[in-house]
Amino acid sequence: MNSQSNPGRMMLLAFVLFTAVLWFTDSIFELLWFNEANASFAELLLPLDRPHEMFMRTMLVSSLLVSGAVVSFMYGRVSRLNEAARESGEKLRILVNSIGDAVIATDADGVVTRMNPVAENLTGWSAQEAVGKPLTDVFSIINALTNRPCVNPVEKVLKSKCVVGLANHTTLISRAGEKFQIADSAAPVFDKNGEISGSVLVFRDVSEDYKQREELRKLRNYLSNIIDSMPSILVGVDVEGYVTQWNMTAEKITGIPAADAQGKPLVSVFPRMAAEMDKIKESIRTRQSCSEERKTRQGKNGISYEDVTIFPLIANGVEGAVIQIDDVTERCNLEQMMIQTEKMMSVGGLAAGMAHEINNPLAAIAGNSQNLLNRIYKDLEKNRKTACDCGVDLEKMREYLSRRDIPRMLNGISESCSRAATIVSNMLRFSRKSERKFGQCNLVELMNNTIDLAANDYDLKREYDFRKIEIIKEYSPELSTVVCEENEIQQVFLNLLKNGAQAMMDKEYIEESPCFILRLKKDGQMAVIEVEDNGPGMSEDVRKRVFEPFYSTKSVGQGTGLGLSVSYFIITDQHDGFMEVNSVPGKWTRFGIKIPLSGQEA
Amino acid sequence: MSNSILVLDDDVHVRESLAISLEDEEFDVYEAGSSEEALNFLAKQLVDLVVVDLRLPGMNGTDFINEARQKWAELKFIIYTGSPEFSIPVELAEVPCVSNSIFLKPLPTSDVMVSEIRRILG
Repeated sequence: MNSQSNPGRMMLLAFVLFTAVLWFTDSIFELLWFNEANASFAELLLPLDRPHEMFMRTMLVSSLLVSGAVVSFMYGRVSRLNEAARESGEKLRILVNSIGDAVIATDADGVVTRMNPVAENLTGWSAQEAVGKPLTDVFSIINALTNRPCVNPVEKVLKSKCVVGLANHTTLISRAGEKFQIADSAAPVFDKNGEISGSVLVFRDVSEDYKQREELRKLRNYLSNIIDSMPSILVGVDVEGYVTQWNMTAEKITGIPAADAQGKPLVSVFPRMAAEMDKIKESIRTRQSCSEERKTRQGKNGISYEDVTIFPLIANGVEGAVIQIDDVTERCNLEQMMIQTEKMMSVGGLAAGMAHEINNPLAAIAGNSQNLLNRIYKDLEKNRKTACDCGVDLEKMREYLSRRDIPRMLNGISESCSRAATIVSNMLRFSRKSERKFGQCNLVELMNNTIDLAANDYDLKREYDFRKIEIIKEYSPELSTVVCEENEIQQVFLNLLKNGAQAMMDKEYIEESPCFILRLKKDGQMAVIEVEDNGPGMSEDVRKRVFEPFYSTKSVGQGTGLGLSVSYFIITDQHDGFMEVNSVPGKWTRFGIKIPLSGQEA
Repeated sequence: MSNSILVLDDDVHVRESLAISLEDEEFDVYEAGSSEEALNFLAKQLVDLVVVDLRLPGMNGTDFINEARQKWAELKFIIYTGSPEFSIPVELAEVPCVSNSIFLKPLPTSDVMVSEIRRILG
């Protein structure tokens, strides 16, 4: 209060004193030079006896005092205002300087008018130097990602008259060339008329945050890359069974993008996990991982196998589980293939050892049953002569034998014998490695020839007409020639056609009719051959055993149980190929063969 | 005069059944159970053709053929074997007196062999 009123009072006091001095001086003047009456100094100081003099002096003094009072009042007022203004300016300065963020103020032209020490530090410009310079000189920013200059935010503010936040990844380059990641905003300053009078830019060094965020982002990317690059399906769920993690393989297999799967109940995005939900919950509860190997699943391309493992998440604060699903179909098939091949090799070894021993007696049986028929029925001179010598009528004897079914019995012996011979020769195929002639072979021609062969096959014709089966050929023009053993591949084709044809005989067709779909195509360096029939299909148990030697679903005498296993052996062992079968019972069966285009043995 | 054939096979039933088939085809048929026996027989009485089993006790079929064709240049041979893994040895494959067709046991009928015999003997 005191300091505010002092200047005015001081001035008033000065006026009073000045008036008193003037009064006193006038008295002295009168004493020295105009004292005609020789009056005393006291009389002159207070000339009560001279009213005119008294009045003049009083008039002068009071007018001086009045004007002094007015002037000092005014002065006091002005100096108080000044003081207040200075103080508020100082307050503002202190306020601005004590703000933790950097602050730069500009005028309406974007020229720096004020900046605080934090801003001085970051920009490297002192406030003195910076004031009066365009903001762009002092505050130079680039995009951290592209390294290209950013639009000056103040310009934007002055144009738009709105608060502007800076883009992410803004880097400030200081006067010394140092770089800081900053986060900031700029706001317009309006005068009382609502006109823009300047702008305030507030920014902050977020280099540390930015670095941490970048590291976090990198780490997250790295981890999700690891998870995504896994060939397994990896799905994370929380305690309630809602999806928390969904990797790329899961996306690929289900066709559901991670963004859509996140947060949904597992069963709704992955219906086949419905059966696993109890296990998942159990696993989370007991904190024990649990796995199931070789889980079979009927896919649209046949049976596939999956290993399903559930890992509970037992880290602090995280509850849930990760489910890993691996498609092991290929491995399973390969294992099965190896087992089959093993079996066949052992059959082959056995066959090679016993073929000679069995073929000799078979030769005697076949030879002698033919001899018997010859000596009864063939028109031989010796037959007639011997009958005559014995006094037997040959015709009568033949009739007797016929009536007693002897020829049929002999034929039975012949047929059984030839069947046994076929079995032995098929078994031998498992071992015979020599004398194979690999050559260029046109699969299309081979397939067509085989269809003709099947159509003319006596065994087949006896049971049905192959020509009644519709044959759809889906041959890809891409497939040219393949290096293989033509005879053996033909045997495989014939086997598949015969098997399919026989299978289709067992099905009663209501709307459709028996039909083969034969496909020849190219898959990378492999030729793919598919023989699909719409016959009765086969159950999973049959499917698993269909390539086993001596496994047959046909009634005794109809098949040897070696056709498919021989085919399998020819493809997998002798041509280094693959052979598989898929089927939907009641609908179709499809045999798939893959052999290398270039041939492995050639 | 009918052609004469020697059937060389150690299995008596195979030998006899083949002999009977050939007899019924009006050949003069003789039998031998081993290579040695066959060589002895041929030394006494030459035939036109020998049906040879390859796997034989003592001297095997290929050795027999090699020895016999040295001694009797006119003799023809047909191989009839139960061991499919035997193929014609390279040195016999090019020899004109040995039939290129190997007959594998068991033959469903002897007709094919008979016609081959007739072809070789002309």
